Order: sequence, then C-alpha cells, then structure tokens
Amino acid sequence: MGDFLIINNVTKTYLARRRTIADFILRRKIPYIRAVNGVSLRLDRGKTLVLLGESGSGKTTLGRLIVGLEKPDSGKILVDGEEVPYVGDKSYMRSKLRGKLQMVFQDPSSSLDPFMTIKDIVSEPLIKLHMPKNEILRMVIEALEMVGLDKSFLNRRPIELSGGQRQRIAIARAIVTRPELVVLDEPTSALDVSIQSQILNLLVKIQRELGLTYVFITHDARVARFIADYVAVMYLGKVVEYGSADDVFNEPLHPYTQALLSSVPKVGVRELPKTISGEVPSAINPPSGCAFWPRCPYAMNKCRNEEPQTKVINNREVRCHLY
Amino acid sequence: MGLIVTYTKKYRKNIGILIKLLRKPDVAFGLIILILFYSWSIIEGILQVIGSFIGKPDLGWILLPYNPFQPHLSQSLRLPSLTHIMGTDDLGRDIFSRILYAAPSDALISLVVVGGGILIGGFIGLFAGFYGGKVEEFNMWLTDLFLAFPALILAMVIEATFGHGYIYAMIAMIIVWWPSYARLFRAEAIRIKNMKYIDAALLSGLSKVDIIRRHMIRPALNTILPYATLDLGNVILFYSMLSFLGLGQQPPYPEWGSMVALGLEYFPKWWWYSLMPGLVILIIAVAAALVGDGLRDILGGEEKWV
Repeated sequence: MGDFLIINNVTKTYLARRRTIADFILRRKIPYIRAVNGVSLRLDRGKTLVLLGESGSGKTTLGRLIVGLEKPDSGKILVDGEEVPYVGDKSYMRSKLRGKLQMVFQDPSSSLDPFMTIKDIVSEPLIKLHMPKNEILRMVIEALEMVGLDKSFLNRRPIELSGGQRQRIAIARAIVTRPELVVLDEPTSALDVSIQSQILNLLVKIQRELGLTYVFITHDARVARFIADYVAVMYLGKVVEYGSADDVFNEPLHPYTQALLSSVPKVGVRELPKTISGEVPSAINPPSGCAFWPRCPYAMNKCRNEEPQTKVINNREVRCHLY
Repeated sequence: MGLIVTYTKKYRKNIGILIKLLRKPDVAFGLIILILFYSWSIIEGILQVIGSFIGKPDLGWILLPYNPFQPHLSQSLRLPSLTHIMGTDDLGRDIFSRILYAAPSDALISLVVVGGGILIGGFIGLFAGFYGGKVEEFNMWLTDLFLAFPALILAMVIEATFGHGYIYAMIAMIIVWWPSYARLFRAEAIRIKNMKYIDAALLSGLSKVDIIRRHMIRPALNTILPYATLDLGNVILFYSMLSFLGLGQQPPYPEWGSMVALGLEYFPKWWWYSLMPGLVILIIAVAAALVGDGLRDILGGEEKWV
C-alpha cells in the first residue's frame, strides 16, 4: 500500500533488566523483551497510518524506530527510498533525512525544555540548516500561525502555557522544517476531551496544507477512526491486522480488532458487549503459538501450537488461523 | 525608564527569587553576611592588589583601623575593647584588622574552588551521564578514584609534593573538590536525558555536544546552585583547616585558620586570639549554609518549571 514509508521485517528487543556483574560471573542469561517482532508495513506519501493497540503492544517503540530514535536489531526502515539513520550513529549527521523525521510526544510538559523560550524551542530544528536569522524567525512565526498561535508567544516560556497550547508548540516544532514524516505518539491522550478534538482538527488541517505523512500512535479506537487512512493493529509487538481504515473499522477480521472496536463506549448503550478479559501477557515470556490465544474467544488447538502467518484477505493483512 | 522596565522584565524571575529569599529571617541574615563578606573582600582585595603593584603595600590597610603587620609589643594580648574590638595577638597586632586583611584570600579561594569544581565536575559529569556506556564508566572510575581518598589527606599529599602556599592550596582543593560535583552533574544529566525534549533535539539534527550545551548546562546549574552556595562555606572551612596545618597562606600574611592555630598556644587564658577568627569562619560558613538551604527551598519548588 505505497512505497513512501517501507518497514521491512523490523525487530527490536530489549534486555529485561540491566546486566550486572553477578550475571557476568554466573553466566546467567537475561531474558529479552521483544518490543517489536517482525513488523512489515508500507505507506503512501501524504497518508496517515494509525498504530492501534493496548499499552505494551510495542506501538511506541515502532514509532521511535521509524524516526530513528531507536536502532532496529534486524530489518530495515526506508523513508522515500532512504534508510532511516539511527540518531546516535555517525551516518545520521550526513543523512538526507537528518531533521526531516519529526515526532510529537504524549506528555507536552516533558517535551518542551522549561528553560527555553517558545522561539528557541520552535526554531531548534532549523539551527543546523544554517539559515539567516530573519528567515528563521519568519519560519517560526509561520509555524506558530499554522498551529493557531501568534507572535506574542515567541518570548514566553512553556510554564506560562496550558496543556493544549504546549502541544500546539510541540506540533509547531515538528512541522517547522516541513518534514517528510511526523510520528505522533498519543498527542492527545494527556489532554482534555474538548482540547483533543481541537488538536485533531488542527493536525488534519496541517496535513492537508503541507501534504505531510503521519504515523499516529494511539490506544483510542475513536481517535484512530477519526484520523486514519490506514490502521495497523498491534498486539505484543506484532501487527495482527493491517488495512485501510474503512475496511478495518467496518469489518474487523481479527478477533483482537473486533474486541478493541467493540469496547468503545457508545451513547445510548448502557451495557458494553462482553469483550476480551485479562491483560496483555508479559512480553518476556509470550504465549506459544498465536500470542492472543489465552484471551481469544475463538481459540482453537492450532492457535496454541502454531503461529499464524500473515494472510492477505480482501486487500488486508491478517494474522489469524480463522482465515 | 524604558530601559529599567525591560531590565526588570528580563530579570523578573531573579528579582522574585531575591525577594522570596529575603522574606525568611534566617536566610536574609545569611544573605546579608555573605554580601558583606564578598563586597568587603572585593574592595580590600582590589586595594591590596593595586598596593602591591605600585609598590605601596600600605594601600592594603588604608581602610583598616590598624596596620595588620606592625607589631606593638607593648600592646600584646589585650582583651577585646573599644580600641581593639577583637583584642590583640601576641605581637600586639590588632586581630580585627588582621581578620579583615585576610578576608579576600578566603573569598577568592571559595569562589575559585567552587567554580573550578563546577567546571571540571560539570564537564566530566555531564558527559558521563549523557553519553553513558564507556564514557560513563571511565569518567566515574576517575571520579571514584579521587573520592576514595580522604579529602584532607589527598590535599596534604598534593601540597607536600608540589609545594606550600596559597596557589598550591587552591590547586589542591580544586583537585579534591570536583568529584562531588561530577556526581551531581551526572545525576542531573541522567534525569534530563530521559526528558522527551532531548529526543526532539536529537531529531532536530543536533549533536550530543550541542544538546549538552543547549539543554543540560542551564538546568543542571540551576539544580546545583543551592549546593554550590552552601559549599562556599565548606571551602572556607576546609581552607582554614589547611592553613591551620600550615598549608595555606604563609606568614607573615594573616589567615583565619592559621590565626586559630597560633592562638591555641595562648588558649584558654588569652581565649580571644584563636576564638575571634574561629567565630568569623563559623559565621560565614553558617551564613553560606543558610542561604544555600533557602535557595534549595525556593528553587526546589520550581524544579519542574522555572
């Protein structure tokens, strides 16, 4: 479904804890957490991909991999034909994508340096582009206006702003360089509902104006439905269903997607349908076979023993033995 | 007028902190003592330096009630009185004048040692905390190496090896002083490293050195400022300890610690000889501790959003 963003069989594991001297002497093995486990996705330019899943599903890690804040253990991520460089590598400084991949974080209070003025914060991505000062100022003001703020904010500090305004500043910083791709990591989860819709509308407007490509990370199916062109539903580091938003939301195929979508409260419905129970299993010790089987209403014997492979059904990728 | 308005606007936060400091009586007391001490030291220090440059050392005691070097054997070991408010020493020199004359060396060493500690410790600690891995291991190994020795012993060894005197005491103290700052700065760097704005800065294409410069130095200094203020008193105490042992300013130049040491021979009958300089050391150390404490209370409340 496009070739602007190509994620090819990407895996990222972490050590479950720090290696200590005792581990070294006793040659103890430290368990691994597979945060992202063999994910492959594709996306067109100017579209929005939503990564939907519960906490612990690896969606944030995948988002960080896409912009290069983490280094994949295996697999490749390409943006516009160029491999995404890890920010800690030397190659990052020479890469064409340096500064062109931006991210908006969940908590606006820790994503803005409290000691800096709004002008310094928003102009930060422009520093390394060696532009004249007045040009930088012009672009900063333009970005502020695009997010619905004005010049009067230039010399204020984050402490003086409300949560919604801080998130607007974070968005302004992300779009000031006209990036190729923006990863939005739950940008509305820390905000009030009324502010949430403002920010979502703003994001859609900006995308239309600048032709941006979004990767939008959320656990909220309603938010996903509003903003998505494509949806990838993640469970324990794997994409269990990937397809266009219309398809996935109208006719969810994977039992996990069905459960996620039916657990959204609706107006006028007193009792929510019975959905899946329990928690996401530990990623250190995932269940055998299909990771979802302990919670799946349709679990079969096959699910416990054999891992389902990705199948393409009706223009959509599903990982389930039911199909 | 416009200039004053912009000035106060720019420094509104600093003025606010000052007002908050002065509202607490103990902190206000400490602050006044420190301001008196450092401003006197600047005036007296400048006079002494100019005096020695133009070859007229008496410029150094032009503001003092008595010549701090001139012995008056007839006046020796006088009780504190209106003519000699802190009494006289065994050679009949006015103790108050000698204490005032010695003030600049203490003021300078406290600022230089704390400043040097922040500079070296900041450099080593910030890189250790932010880079992690091998850099951190090496830097903290170095820090622990210096911390492992008792500070006083290490300073004495350094001075015994390289020489005695004011400059050597200063160098020795910087060497024993920076490791604690390295630890503080490392902790700060680790705290800030986990902030999301560091991720954003990395995505903006800044190098790690850029990020330390832009995002770490100022917040780290802000957190360490209370500790550094408190530390000014510790440095003066430590320097007095060194000069008590004869490792500081060499005679005939007066020094608070060495005055205490000399006076001990005459203790307790002529108690004021060592007690008076001791009291001055105590008061300034306490004042620094009070101000440091007050600063911590105020800045601590605004730690997240300054």
